Amino acid sequence: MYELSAFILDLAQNSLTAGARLVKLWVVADQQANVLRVTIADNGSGMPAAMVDKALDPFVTSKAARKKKIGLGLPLFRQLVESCCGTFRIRSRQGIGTVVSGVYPLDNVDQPVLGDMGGTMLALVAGNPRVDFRFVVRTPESDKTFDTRPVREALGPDAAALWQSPDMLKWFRQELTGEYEDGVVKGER
Amino acid sequence: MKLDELKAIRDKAAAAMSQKQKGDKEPEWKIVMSMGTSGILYGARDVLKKFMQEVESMQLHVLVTQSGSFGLDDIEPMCAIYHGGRNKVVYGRLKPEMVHELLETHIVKGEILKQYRVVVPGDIGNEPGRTV
Ligand SMILES: Nc1ncnc2c1ncn2[C@@H]1O[C@H](COP(=O)(O)OP(=O)(O)OP(=O)(O)O)[C@@H](O)[C@H]1O
Ligand SMILES: [Mg+2]
Repeated sequence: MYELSAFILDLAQNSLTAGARLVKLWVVADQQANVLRVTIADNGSGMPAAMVDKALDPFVTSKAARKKKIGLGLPLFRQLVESCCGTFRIRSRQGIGTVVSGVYPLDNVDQPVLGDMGGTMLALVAGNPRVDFRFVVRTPESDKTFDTRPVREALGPDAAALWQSPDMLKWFRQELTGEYEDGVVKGER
Repeated sequence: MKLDELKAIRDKAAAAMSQKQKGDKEPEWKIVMSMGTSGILYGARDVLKKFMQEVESMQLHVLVTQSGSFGLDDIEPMCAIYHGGRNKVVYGRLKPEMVHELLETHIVKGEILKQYRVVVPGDIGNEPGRTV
């Protein structure tokens, strides 16, 4: 993977698999400190301390061994961050949730492009009618904040049923990817 | 965010929705895209985006969602299509350009699209020609 947005989708999928009802994501370039901070926090099941260490081992997954023997998401993200001379961290508490973060210098040759962040946000938001997301993306490539909670409130009690109606899919696509019918891509700023 | 547009969407939908669709119910049809590390590596995100785009333009009532890896890395990108929460058919090695045909055949016509189908344990049966 060379797109940061693809790593983020992978980490967010871990949060969803862990039953998170709220997933928060920050991808923020701090020009003053000259670092990019990527943080993803969820209120899913969390992991016991012993599992956290194991989760960083690519040969460990909580998925049934019969079906799957390796878990790559966390080790790959860690490798990305560390190959960019950055710091990877994971904090998790059972019953509370998990926070995964990477901080790395902005100007290094190994830095991945952000890539299709709109596609990642669209897949997550539109694909999970019962989960709330908050995104803060502030990098030289993109400037976007989005929160599903006011959307849910505006849609009212039928929000989950309306979430993937054609009209809502269109709304999400326009909001999150800036793509309009005629194929013209609107700048994010 | 253009929140003001949502009220119009809500009111229009409320008028159109049958009583049965209202509330917390999921649609009859559900497409689950495998979105683990390997799925993403093989392009699952683009396929999922295409599913959403086609559901929007074909005006279908389908839930398109994702899950962690199915553990079938050799056939990524893959999805499972469920009907009525039970019947499950798995399609593998998907590309965005296959999506329209897949929706047209499987959901609109109710037939299995055999070229893309992958038979895995737990799906609805291997009888050739069986409809959904
Ligand atoms: N946000 C999270 N909350 C709770 N558990 C997590 C979280 N992220 C990872 N884990 C645990 O760590 C394990 C390893 O995660 P990792 O992403 O590396 O692999 P995976 O999700 O099992 O498989 P893959 O990502 O390769 O499809 C997971 O199986 C899960 O048990
Ligand atoms: Mg994972």
